[in-house]
Amino acid sequence: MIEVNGVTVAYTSLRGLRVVQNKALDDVTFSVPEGSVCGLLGTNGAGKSTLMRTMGGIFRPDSGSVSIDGRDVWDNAEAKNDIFYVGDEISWYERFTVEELKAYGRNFRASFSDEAFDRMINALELPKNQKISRLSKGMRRQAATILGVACRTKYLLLDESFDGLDPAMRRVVREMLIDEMCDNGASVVLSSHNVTEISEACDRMLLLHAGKVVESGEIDEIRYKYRRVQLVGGEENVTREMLAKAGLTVLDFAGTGSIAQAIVSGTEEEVKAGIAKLPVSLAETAPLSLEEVFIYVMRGKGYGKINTGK
Amino acid sequence: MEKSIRENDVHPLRYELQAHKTSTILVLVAIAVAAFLNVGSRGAVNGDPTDTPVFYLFAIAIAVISGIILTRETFADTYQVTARDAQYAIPVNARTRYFAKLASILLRHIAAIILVNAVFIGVCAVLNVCAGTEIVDIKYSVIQASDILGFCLGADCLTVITMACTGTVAAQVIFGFGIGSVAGFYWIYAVALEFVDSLFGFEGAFECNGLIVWCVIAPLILTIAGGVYIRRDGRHTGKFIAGRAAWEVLTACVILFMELSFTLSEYTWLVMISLLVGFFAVHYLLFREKARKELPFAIAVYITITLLFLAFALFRYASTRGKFYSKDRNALESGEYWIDNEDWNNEWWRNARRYANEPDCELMIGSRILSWIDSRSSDEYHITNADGSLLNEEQYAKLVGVLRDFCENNEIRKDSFGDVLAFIFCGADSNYEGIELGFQVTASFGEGRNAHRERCTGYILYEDRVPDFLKKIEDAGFVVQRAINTRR
Amino acid sequence: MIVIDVSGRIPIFEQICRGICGDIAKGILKPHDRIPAARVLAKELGINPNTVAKAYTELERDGIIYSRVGKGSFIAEHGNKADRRFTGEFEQKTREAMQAGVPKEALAEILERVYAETAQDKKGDERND
Repeated sequence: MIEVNGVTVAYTSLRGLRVVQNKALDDVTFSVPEGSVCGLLGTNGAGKSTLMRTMGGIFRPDSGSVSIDGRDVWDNAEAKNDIFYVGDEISWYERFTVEELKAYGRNFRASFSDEAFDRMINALELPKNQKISRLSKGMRRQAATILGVACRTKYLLLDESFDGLDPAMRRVVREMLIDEMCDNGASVVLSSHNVTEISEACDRMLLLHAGKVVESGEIDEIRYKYRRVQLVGGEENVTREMLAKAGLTVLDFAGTGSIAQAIVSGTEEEVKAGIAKLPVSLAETAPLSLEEVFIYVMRGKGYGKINTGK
Repeated sequence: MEKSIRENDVHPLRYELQAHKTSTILVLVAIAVAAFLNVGSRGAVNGDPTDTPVFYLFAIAIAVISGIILTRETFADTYQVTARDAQYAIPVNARTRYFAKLASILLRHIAAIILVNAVFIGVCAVLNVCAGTEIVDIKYSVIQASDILGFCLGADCLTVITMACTGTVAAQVIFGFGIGSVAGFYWIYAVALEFVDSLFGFEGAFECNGLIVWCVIAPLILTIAGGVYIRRDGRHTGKFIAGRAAWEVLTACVILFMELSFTLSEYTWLVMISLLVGFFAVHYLLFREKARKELPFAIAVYITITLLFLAFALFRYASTRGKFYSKDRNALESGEYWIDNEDWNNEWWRNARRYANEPDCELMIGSRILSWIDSRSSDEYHITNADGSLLNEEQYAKLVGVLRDFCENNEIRKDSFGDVLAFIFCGADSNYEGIELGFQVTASFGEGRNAHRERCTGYILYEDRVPDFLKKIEDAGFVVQRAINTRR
Repeated sequence: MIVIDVSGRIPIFEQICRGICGDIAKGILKPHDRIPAARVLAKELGINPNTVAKAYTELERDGIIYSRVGKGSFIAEHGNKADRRFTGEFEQKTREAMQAGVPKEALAEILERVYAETAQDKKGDERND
């Protein structure tokens, strides 16, 4: 299990004569159990890459720790043996051809599997003897991902690894990952902006905003913590304040005339109980897609709402 | 070596070598070219000695610069995000990674230089034997090759420590190329030589050269660099490891030290200003975008350094001015003084040496560079008695008399005669109206504990007058032999 | 047939369960028929194998499928338990309507009407073939 405990990563800079600290990650705590696929979601600049690099032992947290099966990962060869970070910037590998990349990978993981590497390269039909820098952007990324998967580490961190791949290739790569998980019990953490993809491929997720954890846990649990409600007012129109007074946390509210649409947090029972207190003639609730959860939770934090001046 | 830097069945050295195939080949080519230039710089064509010092300079430059590029690429994880991501994800401790990188540089650069030069020199030795005459000056080539090796070793370890500490490209360029270049580099060598000199009490008994100096200093620098490198965090990529303020202070100290190592002369103001300008320029290059914001702080630092330097310089100037100047000049110009005095050699040596370091001398650094370059191009002569024995006191005096006469007859400035003597007999360098003489005198005086062996070397190019001068010396009954240049 | 709607209102594992139960109800899957391994199904649908595993665990718990080590998963002798996946909600809604005071006749009328409409649609499809 990967345990991230109270991790804070800050960048210090000198501004004039003052020292300024900018926290890329602020007290992040969550865990990735074995055998799960965890999706890392976040707003732009939320710290997803920073978090993944810290988990991979590339950054050292200023406070807190990341442990892999109980061992701190920073500068610990033994712990790093069980985890591999495939970054979003992979130009370092571009000096090799695919065949050379295999030899390179063999050098630094005892668990590296030539057979798996070859199989995946053939499945994706990547040319073997061309320098990787000559391949298309998607192919380059695939090569790096294959390197990571072929290392057969217990934990695999994929940072935006599907970027630049067409839908068919994304599916192929995901199938490769599934094989890996089932055959070798690997756990994967992937970061992506494609929420649909995360909701298909992952069973757990972590939502980050400005370096802080907004949500973490199983996707199914998180999705059903929020609901969309549509209310038709009775004698008076429904307002946001009324919902708040009924004990509901409102993330977003839009009302035209007597019809009000709101996004609230709470399970189905809680929301129904709250609505029951309101003077409405009609009430409907529905769950949200993961993408909607993302958008509205963020709006609730003041992110992503275009200011119309109203 | 591979076994000792293996962890978890990881082969860090092997992957270091694999990852840099292109640059390895380029460096090998560069080293081969340098080795070729090295053996070609001094030899004989149809019996006539040829000497092309510029080949040697190019050989140094090529070998050193290619080494710096190689080192820079090996330590790419200090400044390149993608290299850092790839390398820090490998299950290897920072220390192992560091040693693997050092080992890879050692193999691809240092060992390669030794091997390639050995091959080239070996081939030339065979050629010499086949041809019957000395086409290539083997001894010279060996010494030059060892100097090249020393330079490369030094440049590499300076590049390593710069990268470990700064991770910025500008810093590497400046420190690596600048100090790895002949001029800046020789300065460090000179300082180091003084340092090692004072440690081992060099009195001609210990031959110190560039390679030895760097072999001593390199492990020290690399250990410090290692300590810094290991503490680097992924976040330091492309940045200085410590706070900026710490770096300002450190560079300030370096500049101050450099300024202090110059003696006060009529060129001091030039040195000071150019150093300050240089400091500003480097500072701007390194911190371009932030430079404007942090200007007040930087200015404060510069002003402090300058004031410190001025204070020290004034102090030295005041404390030395007028004390030894005229007295020593007189002492040197009067031959009787230092022959009659029983302790003449010691006092004279002391005075002369002090004089040589006096404010009135030329820039020590600049002239050392010139002298070093000249030493590669000017011939050196050993002057002994007719029977080959070394000079004793009287003969030494006689030699000085010959020199004095010669200089007088050839209208070398009288007031500089003392300088010339000091220069000749204690190694200070000077340039007098474009006339420079070069020869080396080995003399030994005294017995037992007072035995005083001096090998003083002065490098002066006297152009077409050298043969005359040497003839005069021979007429006086001495024997002149052309010697292989060995640096002090 | 199992169709997954990721943005849908129903959890994915529940959709899988319903898909399989639906096939059973339509007679496509009969007892002791083999269903694909969790991993294979996950790859086919492009979803997380844990989710498929969760669905299979639920179905096994409900007695709708059984697994044999090394052989795979098979449809069990379920005795119409599969239907309960759909009827369970229906039952719940009926109770709700009853509690709200809706008369039995209204519910029965809905039942008749929906079945009649569906039958007509089917006939229409057959005629158009």
